[in-house]
This record gives sequence, C-alpha cells and structure tokens, in this order.
Amino acid sequence: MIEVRGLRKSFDGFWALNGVDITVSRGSVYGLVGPNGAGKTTLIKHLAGVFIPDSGTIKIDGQPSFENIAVKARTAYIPDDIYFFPQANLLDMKKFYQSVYPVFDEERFNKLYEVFPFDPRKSLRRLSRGMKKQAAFWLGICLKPDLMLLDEPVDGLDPVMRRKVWSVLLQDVAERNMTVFVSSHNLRELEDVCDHVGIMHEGRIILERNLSEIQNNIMKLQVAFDGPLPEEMNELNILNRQSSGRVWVLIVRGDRDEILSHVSKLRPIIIDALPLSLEEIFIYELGGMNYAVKNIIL
Amino acid sequence: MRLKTSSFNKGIYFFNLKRFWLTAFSFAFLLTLNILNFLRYVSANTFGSYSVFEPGEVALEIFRYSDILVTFLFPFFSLISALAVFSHIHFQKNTAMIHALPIDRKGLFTTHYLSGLTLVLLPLAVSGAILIVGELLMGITHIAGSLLWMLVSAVILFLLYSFAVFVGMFTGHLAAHALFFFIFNFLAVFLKDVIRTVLMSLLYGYASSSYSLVDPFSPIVYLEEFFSGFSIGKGNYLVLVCYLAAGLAFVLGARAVYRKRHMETAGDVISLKVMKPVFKYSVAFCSSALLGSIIVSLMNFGRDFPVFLISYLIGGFIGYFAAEMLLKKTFGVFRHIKGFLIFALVIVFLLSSINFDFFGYETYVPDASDVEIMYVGNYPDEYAKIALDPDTYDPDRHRYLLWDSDYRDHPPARLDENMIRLLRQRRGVLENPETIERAVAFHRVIAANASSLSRPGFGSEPYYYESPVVRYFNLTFTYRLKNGRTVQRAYFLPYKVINGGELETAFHELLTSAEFMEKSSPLLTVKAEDLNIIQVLFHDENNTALNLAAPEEKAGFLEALRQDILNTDPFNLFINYKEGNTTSIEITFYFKADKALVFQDGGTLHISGRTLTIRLWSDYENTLLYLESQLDMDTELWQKIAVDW
Repeated sequence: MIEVRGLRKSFDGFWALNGVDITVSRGSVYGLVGPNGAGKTTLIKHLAGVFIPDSGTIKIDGQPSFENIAVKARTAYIPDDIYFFPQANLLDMKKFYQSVYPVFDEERFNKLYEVFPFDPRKSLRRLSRGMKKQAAFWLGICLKPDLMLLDEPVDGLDPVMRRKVWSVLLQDVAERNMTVFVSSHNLRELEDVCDHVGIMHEGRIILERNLSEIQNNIMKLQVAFDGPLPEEMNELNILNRQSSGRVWVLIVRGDRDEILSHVSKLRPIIIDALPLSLEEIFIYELGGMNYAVKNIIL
Repeated sequence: MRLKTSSFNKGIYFFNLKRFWLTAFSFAFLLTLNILNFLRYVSANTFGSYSVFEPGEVALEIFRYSDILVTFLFPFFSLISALAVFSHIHFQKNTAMIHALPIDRKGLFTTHYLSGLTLVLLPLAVSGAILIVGELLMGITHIAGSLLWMLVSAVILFLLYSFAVFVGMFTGHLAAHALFFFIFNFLAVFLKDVIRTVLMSLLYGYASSSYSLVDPFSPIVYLEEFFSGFSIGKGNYLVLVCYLAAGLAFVLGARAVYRKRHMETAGDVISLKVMKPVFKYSVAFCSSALLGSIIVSLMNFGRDFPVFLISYLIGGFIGYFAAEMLLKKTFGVFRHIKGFLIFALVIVFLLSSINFDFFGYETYVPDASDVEIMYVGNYPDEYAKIALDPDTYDPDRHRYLLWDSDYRDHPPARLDENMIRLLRQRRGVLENPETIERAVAFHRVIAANASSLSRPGFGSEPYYYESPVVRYFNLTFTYRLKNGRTVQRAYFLPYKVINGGELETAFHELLTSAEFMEKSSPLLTVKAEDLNIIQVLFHDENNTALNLAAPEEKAGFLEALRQDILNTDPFNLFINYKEGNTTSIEITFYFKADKALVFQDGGTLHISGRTLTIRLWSDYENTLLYLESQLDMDTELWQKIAVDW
C-alpha cells in the first residue's frame, strides 16, 4: 500500500528525514514509533501530500502521493493538531468534506452518533482537545478511506473512547481491508492494535518488522550460573545486562531457540526467557543508538 | 471514480464566501455609503448638468467625492480578502488540513483566489448597481460615467488584490504579509524620493522633476492622478491596460509560486529560500536609505560626507540585522557579520561614487554646438520642458498651460507649430546659437568651480531666499541636444559669489544677450510701426489722457521705455523680480495686428492680443521724462502722479 524509498527532507539545513525507507502492506496497521523529533510527523505529512520531499519517492498503491488527487481522495489524515474552520460546527465540516471528497457515507455519519456522544451543532472551537479528536475521527471514518494516516490519534481521548475508536477503525481494517498508518508514543496501545512496527530515529527507520517477529527476535533472559557470567555468553547479541548477585537479566537479540540452546550448554542454575513489551523493545533498541535511558540524579 | 475537484472546487469557494462574508459586507457597506453620499451631492448640486458630463468626468467626480475609496478602502479590503482566503498558508495547522484534501495545488489556488476576488468585486458590483439605480431614479439616463467608474475601480481592485495574493506567496506570516503589501505599494515612490534626496545632497547640480515614470508603480499613490486622466475623456487607458496586465502577471506568478511552495514555511517571514537573501539585503538597503536620511536630516549633516556615510551605514546595519533576526528567529545573529560587510562595501562604493563624482556628472557640460535649444531659469519648469521637447506635452497634465478657459477645457491632443513657437518665446528659452554659447560658457564656469560653490544643505533651501548675510538663488540649465537627449542641471548659488570675478562676467554676458533680454521683457520687441496708437492714462482728478499716434511720438516713447528696461538690473529680470513701485500711469498699446507677446505668470502663459495694458514703474525715469515733455502739466500734479504714487 505504502512504499517510501530514500525520502529526505531538510528544514533550514537540519535533516528531518534522512533517507527513510518503509513498506506497508494493504490491510495492515503500521505503528510508527520514535523519540521526539525523530521525524514521524514530517513523514506522515509527506504521506498526506502536504510536504514536498527534497528527494526520494513516496508511492501509495503504486502511485506518487504528492499532487495526486485520486490517491488523496482515498486517504484520510488526522493530524495531532487538528484544524477546523473557526465558527464551524461538525455539521458544517461534514458539509465541507462532502463537497470535497468523492465519498462521504451519510449513513455511517448518522450511525456514529452512538459512538461519539456530543452535540454536532456545537461550535468545534469550543470543544476540548479530546472532543475535537472525536469530531475528526467521526468525519474521517465517514470518508471510508483506503488509507488512514493518524498522527498521535488517541492523545487526549479517554480510555473508553480510545477503545471505541480503535474498535471502529479495526472493523474497517477487517471488513474493507483499510490500511492504518499510525504514529504514537503510546506503545502499550500500539502493541494491541499494530501488526507492523517501524522505529524511527534521527530521520531514519532503524527497525521495521512484523510486531510478532520483533517480539520473537528480542527477549529478556534471566539466568544464574554457579560462578561468574561465562565468557561464552558474550557470543550472544546482548543489548543490555544487569545483575543482582548471581542472577543476570540480559536483553538479547536473536532467534529464541538458538539463544536458549546456546545458554543451556553453559549449564545455568536458572534460565528463564521472557517476551519484551513494545515499550521495552523501543527503549533497548534506541539504547544502542545513543538514546538510552539514564538514571539522572538532580 | 468521479472527482469533485480538478481546477476549481465549488465547495471550498462557497465555504470561503460563507466564512468571510463579513469582509465583503463591510466593504459593500462602506462603498454604498459613499455612493449614497455622492448621489445626494448630485441631486443637490449638479442635477441639471450631470447628464451632460463626459463619462470620464463623472468617474472622476465619483472618485474625488470619496477619494478615501482608493487611498484606503480599496487597498485595505484587497489585502483583507487575500489574507482571509489564503490564511491557510500562514498557519501549520491550517496548511496541513487544506493540503491533505483531494485537490491539487492548482485547484486550491484557483478556488481560493476566485473566492477572494469575489469578496472584493461583489461589493463593487452591488454599490455600482445602487449608483446606477439611483441615477435612473433621478432621471439620469447617461450612465456611461458610472460604468467607467466601475470598470476603473474593478481593474484597480483586481490589481491590488492580485498583488496582495502575490506578496502572500513569499511569506508564511500573516503580519509580514500585510506589511509587505503596504511596503511594496509605496516602495517605488519611497525609493524615488530617497534616491533623489541622496543625489541632491551629494551631487552638485543634480536636477530632478516631481513627476516621474516611477509613480504608476505605486498605484495607491498614483491613483488620484490616474483617475484625473479620465476626467477629460482622455483617460490613461494605457496605464489601465498595464494595470490589468500586471494584475494578471501577479496572479500567474502567485500560482506558479504556490505550486512549488514548501508548506512547512507556514509561520516563517520568508517562505521561499531563494528570496531570503533578497529580503535581507532589500531590508538593509531600504533601512539604510530611510534611517540614514532621517539621521542626516535630524542632525543637519548636509554634505559632510563622512558623517553622511556613517549615518547610512548605521541605517543599513540596523536593517540588515533586523532582517537576519526575523529570518533566523533569534537575536543571536551578530556573528553573521560577513554579509553586512559586503553590503557596507557596496554602500560605501555607491555613495562615494556619487560624492566624488566617479561618473563625471558634476563636471559635464554639453558643447554649445551639440545644443539645439535650451532653457536657463530659476527652477526646473514643466512648461519649459515642453518648449524644449514638445513630445512631452500631455493634455491631461498641461491643460493649465495657457490663461484661457477654452484651452483648459479642451486642450489639443498635440501642440501645433504656433503653440510651440509661443512657448519658445518665454523667458529663459534660448534658441540663438550665440546666446546658447554664452549660457554654456556660464555653465562651464559653475562646473569648474563646483567645489567652492557647493555648500552644505543647499539642496533643501527654498528657490529664492534672502538672508542678511548672503543672497541665494536657484539656477537651472536644461539642454535639448541635437541627438534628442535632454540634460538638466540645477544649482543653488549664493549671489555674493556671483558678484565678482569670472562668474559674474559670464552670467552678465548671458543676461544681457539680446535674446535673453527680449524674452524676459517682450516690450523690447515692440516697434513703432507695429502700433496704431499708444494711450497713456493718468489717474489724476481730471483723468488726463495722452494719445501718442504720430510715428515719432511712438518711437520716442518706445525708445525711452527701452532705455528704462535696459537700465534694470538684469539679475532682477532673471528672477522676475522688480524693486520699487508702479505709478498710477496706465499705458495701453493698440497694435495693428495680433502681436502675441508672451508674458509669464508662474507656470501659466499670457498671450497678448490686439491691445496690451501695463502700469509704469516709478523708476522708469526716461519714460516719465518723455511723458512730462509731452504734457503741459502742473509740476505739483506731475510730482503727485509720477513720483508720490
């Protein structure tokens, strides 16, 4: 669905995107994670056709996205900082989107009254951030897009509303094979909904894989040996190590079975392999990119 | 799949009109108020003759009656409309929402542009319709003038609005958009004045005229003159067409820039990378010119060049780093000194080249053999310019050339040979090669003594100024060369310097030349055989009159008068100044045929016909003696009439 190759973009000499490559297949939910300033919003604005790339290509369904009316007509973009016309209410905005987009499902709009409990006649300017987000989802979902671009989508939504929104979106993914490209710092939530994840840092994608593959490829290993940690353990790709007495907690990247077989040969007293959450993976992966968590004492 | 938009989107168009209706309403309201006021004026004052006015005259009346329209409302609402419909390019949030819509940039631009244009033209159409309906209700069926006013106003609005949109494409900041719009509207006139000020301050002999081809580039400033052009049915349609073409060029230019615009620049003062240095150096230049001239003027530095230069550099320094701060969005810009140093070098070179006359402007005097015709007078004169080059005649501007209402109301499209001949009879216009040689010789003496003659602050003094210490006067040379070129120099000279030495000799040679004297005092050209009779009227108790009809009487009187004129200080003839008083004696010359003597009153020419009446000056001793000899008058009475008047 989305294919980005060598995308570069600079702002006043600073490379916000520095050779981004991503591939997103149709019907998937792709989570883009990364530290602040990694270039996530910039990337999404390129996908939405707002920004002109300095170099590289962006293709959606095999077609360039910039200035492509057909592609944009099938794309809904919900930014973090939502803009509605001043004085407009939801019904005004609905009318506006109806006049601009080729598809706007009126029936859906009416059904969504059940999901979003606010008065559509109320001026959007007066709504809270979370309510504005709801309004944006209300409109976006009615466009029945093939691609939904979401930048920090649930930021400001309460937990119940988050569930509701994701439930409607995932329904579209399941029924219409809609693709969702979502950037968020809420990794716990992404873990629940994404099937693919890309980690972005300093304008590049440093890791892009199926979520289960990522989770299988990195694990938390709890081991204890009779003596000190055997030298042979260093043959493993250890991202992080901590010890408490003779018990070692290691973050190891690699094939789960191979790692376990390797460690077993060293006759540990205790061996326990635990899966890592997406948040832990994010922290440990970026730890190798000079973005480690440090204990700071003030 | 059918797409709702390609190059125009009805939804956005009507949404914009709905969102910004208040702008159009306010504009329509204010326009309509003016129109109603104008209709009231028409019905109260000129109802009877209104319908016979020329269309251009009606258009001018509408404009004049509410000139606030163009000087304030037109630019203001053009800008407001452009700011409103293109506000999305100035805010990150808006720009992301609008540009993610399934409309290409061409379509977005066209739609927004047209909605803004509607916001400015719709009120004009509404108020125009009210104007025409009002006229029809008053029984005025001649509505061509109102339609012309609407056409001219529509073109101006189109130009101003398109320009406002164009300017907006180069910035990502709402305030900068508004500021640039006004700056660029006044830039041409501002630069013209600043450059003129610098040249007048530093270049001895620099001459400039108030009218300039640059003025139409500041439409808001030029509009009054522009409208005036239509008042005699000979409107400046070329400028109108140029404005239309310029408006179109601005639209196309704006659209081209919009399509390539990087939307992440929303919020930046300058949105096009390539324009950033242009902005920086332009601000530095304008600031140097503006602040420099203010410092010079406040501190009265005049021609003290080093201080003058420093003042302009200070102005440039402030402008350069202010622009740098705006671009970099930080105050920490002073390490980028290199760019300023380059700018400063350019300013030093430019000002030095003027002050030290690298191009030989101050020393250049044309060869007498190259001069076809010339003018020497107190100040640069528009009508002398026409006399030298009749092609510069413009009926719109020069309709007050003659003291004649027929001419004022119906000036000819071109000057005929007779009119050119009359114009060349006026004081200071020199055609005789010998007189031209004397004038050139005088000019050479001035140019050779430029350094000693030029004094601080001379350029800003009034044209004629009497001080207890030194007497100053203005002097202008305008040459029309045989190759078609015009060369003009203007000086402000202290009379004290003139009074003595080669300057005095050269000046006196010129002033006493026959051509100069005769054009300054046309009575010198009158001969006895031109006249039927000379009637002298003494306003005494008896209203004594003396008729000089015999040839020897006329010749005797004219000779005496000639002697008196020649006895006048030629410098006073040059500045058109005469000390003393006139007597009560009135002399009327009755010519055998139209003599067409040319007298000058300010810029306007009086052409004498079959009769000419003058009053005799009390110091015209020869004439008075001659008259006394012709009369058998009581000495006491004569004293009263001729001397004690």
